[in-house]
Amino acid sequence: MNFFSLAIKNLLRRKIRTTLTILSVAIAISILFSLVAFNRGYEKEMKKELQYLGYHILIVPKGCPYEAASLVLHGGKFPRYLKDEYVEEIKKVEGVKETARLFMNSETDSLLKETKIYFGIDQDYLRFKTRWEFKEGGFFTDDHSVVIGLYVSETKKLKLGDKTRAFGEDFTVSGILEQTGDQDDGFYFLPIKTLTRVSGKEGLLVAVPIRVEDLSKIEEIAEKLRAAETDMNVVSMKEVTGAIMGLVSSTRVLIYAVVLIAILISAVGVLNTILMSVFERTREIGMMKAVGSSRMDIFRLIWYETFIVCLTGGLVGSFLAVAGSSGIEKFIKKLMPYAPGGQLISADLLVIIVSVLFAVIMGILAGIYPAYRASNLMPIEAIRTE
Amino acid sequence: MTKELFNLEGITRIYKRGNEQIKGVDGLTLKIDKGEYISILGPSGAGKTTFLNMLGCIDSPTSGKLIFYPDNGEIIELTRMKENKLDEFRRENIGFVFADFFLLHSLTATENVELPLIFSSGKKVEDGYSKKVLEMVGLGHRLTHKPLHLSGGEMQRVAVARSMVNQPKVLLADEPTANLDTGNSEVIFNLFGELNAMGMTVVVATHAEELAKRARRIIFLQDGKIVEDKGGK
Repeated sequence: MNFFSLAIKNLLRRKIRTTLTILSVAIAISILFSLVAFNRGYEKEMKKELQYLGYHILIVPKGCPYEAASLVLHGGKFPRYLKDEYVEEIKKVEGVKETARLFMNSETDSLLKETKIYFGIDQDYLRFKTRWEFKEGGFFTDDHSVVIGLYVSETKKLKLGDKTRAFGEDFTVSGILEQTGDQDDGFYFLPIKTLTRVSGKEGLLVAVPIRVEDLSKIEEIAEKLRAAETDMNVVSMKEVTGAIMGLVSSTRVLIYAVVLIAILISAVGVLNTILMSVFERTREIGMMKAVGSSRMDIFRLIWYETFIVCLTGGLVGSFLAVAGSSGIEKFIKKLMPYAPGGQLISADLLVIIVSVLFAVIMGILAGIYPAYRASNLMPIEAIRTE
Repeated sequence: MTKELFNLEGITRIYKRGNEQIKGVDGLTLKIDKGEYISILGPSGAGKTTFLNMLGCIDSPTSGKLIFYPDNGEIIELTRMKENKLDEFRRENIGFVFADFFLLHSLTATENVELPLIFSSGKKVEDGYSKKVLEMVGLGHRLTHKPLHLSGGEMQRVAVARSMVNQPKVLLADEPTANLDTGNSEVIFNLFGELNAMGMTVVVATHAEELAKRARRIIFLQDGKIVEDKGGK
């Protein structure tokens, strides 16, 4: 027998209490684990998605482009549009290499409570989507063709040549995309002219993506575009990335505040449990002192018990978070106005180490006071306690 | 080498209970030699437990001097020792047996006996030593039993084995048979006799006058004072 096994045996004497305390630590640590893993995964996927967009400048109508996109994803309509003729103006700006026309609309089935997102595109858009590959079929064959993402194909059981209805008209699936790992997997792509017509917005666009000749001149070209037309919102990808990452970092502060509160609650719970057990074992501690244990021995014993509870809680919590990560991810994705595709909970070794380390630090801190109290008990007082 | 083990000079212990002051022991002065077997008798509240607690250094006197003479010829004034040194002193020299046994119910008999050995700088003993000690107290067949599966007498024998495992010089037993029947009390006192015969100094506080007579020296306490010291020098 050694100190460690004695500490374990002491904890096993009160199985239910120990289990519940471990569970409280596990819950706090699984929250920490999930949020840290999510934060990392979200940032990674967001950056990846922004890179895959394939354009350097995006022209959107005046107003907040992020809010507008979120609105459409939830079945709303764009509040403002760009005029189609702007595209020709944009093309004339020196340094602009490629442009495309984009329109976006959605249709909500109130019965099934689902929203279908439609993207109006033209042939030019394919030059921006260099990663696109067709699993089956190809681009539009006529103005009533639809190209669908893999997720749409799988969930709606749509095959090549099948018909799907949108805005009261039938569209034939002309192509199914290979998995892209981003939002495109869940979109319906329609010919832009058809989508604007059925949406009653002919001659209007929601965005014009731009690629430039020289990457070092992105800001310069963006400035020229800003000067050219006043009701266009010219956003360079650097700005988009910066804005989204800014949002991510402000969310991060909130995330860490939640984690901190969860951990504090759990730490107080651990402290309370161990302190209670110290009070209950006062006579026993007195006996240990009488048979020769030093203050340090008692401190070590109680501290080990706290440490074991927190370490076990940390490991269990990490395991629970890994096991439940796909469920947690689905839940978080549902709550978010916009979530990138791909794996949002990135549970790598570093996250596991950080979570377990947090639990250990929590154990070290929560154990100090009960251990100090126990070690300072005078043997005679402890033995006399009823 | 001196024969003396302890020298108590005017040991007084005053407890405060509210405004009231209670003398646990009052000016105890006596010498205890190495290898003595002493019984402490007296009514409840006479100061028997306080006396043992002073000897075992789990309580410190309000006034007076307690001197210990180890085998190396040193003279140690325990009443001036710091707490960490007293821990060490107890670990090295004192074995305690309590009326309530104080066994840990989650541990087996062997593990309970091993307990003093796991503490820092506990004595290094050969493997299986605790088992040997348990066999010595007649519990070789109960090694893996937990206290709840032992009788009162067996539990007290485990407690005696635990007090012996550090090979102390002195065994202090406070009412060791208070919770035992006559047969088991007999067994425990026989054990004390055997340990004393092996050279251990044994001091037992008890109410059991018949069993107390087995000791060569009997000290009667009343109101914290020695009223009789039979067999003492």
